[in-house]
Amino acid sequence: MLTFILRRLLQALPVMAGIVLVCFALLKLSGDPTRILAGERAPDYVRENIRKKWRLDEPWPKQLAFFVGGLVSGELKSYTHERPVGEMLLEGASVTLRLALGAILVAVVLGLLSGIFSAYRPRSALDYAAATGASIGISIPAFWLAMILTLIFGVKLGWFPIGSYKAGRPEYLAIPIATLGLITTALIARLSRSCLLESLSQDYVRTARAKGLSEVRALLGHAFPNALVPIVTVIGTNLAGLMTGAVLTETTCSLPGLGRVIYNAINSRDHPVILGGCLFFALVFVLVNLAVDILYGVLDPRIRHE
Amino acid sequence: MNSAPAAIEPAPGAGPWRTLLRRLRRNRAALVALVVIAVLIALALGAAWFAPHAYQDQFRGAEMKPPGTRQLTRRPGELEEASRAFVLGTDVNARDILSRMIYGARVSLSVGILATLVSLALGVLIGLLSGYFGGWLDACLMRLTDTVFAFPSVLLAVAITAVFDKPSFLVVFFALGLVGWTGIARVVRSQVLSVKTLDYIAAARALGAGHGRILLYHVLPNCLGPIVVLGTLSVGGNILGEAGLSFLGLGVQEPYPSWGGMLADAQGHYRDAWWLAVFPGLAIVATVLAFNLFGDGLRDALDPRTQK
Repeated sequence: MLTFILRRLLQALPVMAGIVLVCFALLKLSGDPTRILAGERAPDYVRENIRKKWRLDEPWPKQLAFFVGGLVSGELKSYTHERPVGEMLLEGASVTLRLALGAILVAVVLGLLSGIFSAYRPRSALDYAAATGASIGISIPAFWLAMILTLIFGVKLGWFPIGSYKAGRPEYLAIPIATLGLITTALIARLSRSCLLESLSQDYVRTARAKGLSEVRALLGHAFPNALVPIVTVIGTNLAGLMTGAVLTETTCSLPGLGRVIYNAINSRDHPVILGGCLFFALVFVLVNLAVDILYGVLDPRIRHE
Repeated sequence: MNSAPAAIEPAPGAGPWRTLLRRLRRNRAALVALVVIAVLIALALGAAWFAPHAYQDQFRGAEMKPPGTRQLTRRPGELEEASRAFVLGTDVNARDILSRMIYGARVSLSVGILATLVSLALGVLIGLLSGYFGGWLDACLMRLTDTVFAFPSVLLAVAITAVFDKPSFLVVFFALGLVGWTGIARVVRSQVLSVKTLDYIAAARALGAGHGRILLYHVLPNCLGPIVVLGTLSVGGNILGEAGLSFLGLGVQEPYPSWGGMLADAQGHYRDAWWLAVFPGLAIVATVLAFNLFGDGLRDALDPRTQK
């Protein structure tokens, strides 16, 4: 198991290196950052000073080494905030992590319940209702759902506060968590329904029924555990996606999350923060995938990691 | 061409396309979706005829009127006031929401379809090469796919638009297309892997066909089913992506309307003008839903396992 984990982490290194390279290339393609950092009309010597200060006058390989070295040692600073990149990213990540975990929790509970019920009574009215809800759920823009929930529960009913997030006040996270949670619920409900129906048609479920188990026990005890592998995969990719892709919801709900930090960095050409953020995303992605792979072995003993 | 399902269903005189059509016709949701898509395309093409007002016209004194307003107003440059109806209300700049939504359909649909074509071209090419040739080429291309997939798509698209000086229509569909090919590449690759072991490929090779010919005439046609389905589904995804980018101000620029941009304008007016936030969003949901339902219908119709 340990060698498996180590090997996977080693395999992830080229992907991480690729991400840093692609990111660096995009940054270089996006032109001279001093144009935005100093302003369009700044005199040349001001820009020259900025270039010197952040070593932008050095050759590209040296710049790349400076970035990577600074990220590893934790000394790399943001161009615009002059704070360590790691500190800024962790601050954003602490908000986003709460958001992502809350949303995943909502989605797993609601999605699995809906999927199990749909598989238990396929083609019933509730199954059709769940299918319709799930179809709408995957077609709805997250930021618009957030707007509508804010409009209803924040403005009309006044149940939840609107406006900027204040640390330590979980009620500010309710609407964004509900937004992302409901959208992810749609995905999990769809998938768990089809996976459950597929495993319900397998021989071992027929055997379970034949030996006199009730339909509920055949479903929950025999079909469900075997349908879990693809479901866990989707939960994993969604958790990674929620950690990284929540920029629109964070914008709508004025949350200072990770997506927001990096979005601002892209707009202000804050290269160290962008690079650090990309590396952070890649790390989250690799670690979540690894966790999912380890879970496979737990869920399905036939899958072994040598 | 999608011979797999047709081969199992031996209806006399029925070609694969006719089988597909017959199966689609039985799927009511997919049919409704197709009608919605057709209506949207007609609205987008004929926006100048269907829209009651011009998208950029600002009507004096008619700022932020609720849906169903009819009032005397004049455009700048007009001398006489005229009675005008604003079915879905007006925005902060006194422009007609319904007209702006109809013009906005042009942006959503064209970006959604063009970005999908870019993704399809990239994804199919990479998937074909990767699956057919295998080896180090496969390894390299799949690592590339993993890398792009690991990026959060919205932020990658934002970064690509930042490379260009000014956000524009071209930049948006190009960025979305560059982001969205990974899923297509993976599916095409796995399809190629299963197709290339079949006997008729060996037969084609024995007849002296080159790699290019085999790929184009023998492998690709057998991957068309999944490609069509994924393409349809990714139109919806790209429309969502375009809405998101426009919402962040990176899409089509004012005064030209886009649904995402209209929603961005609605922020801060929740209390006094709910209609600004509601109608453009409904348009996005309806459009994306139509493409998703039609894609689902196509998938069911092409899937030999759903035989009845």
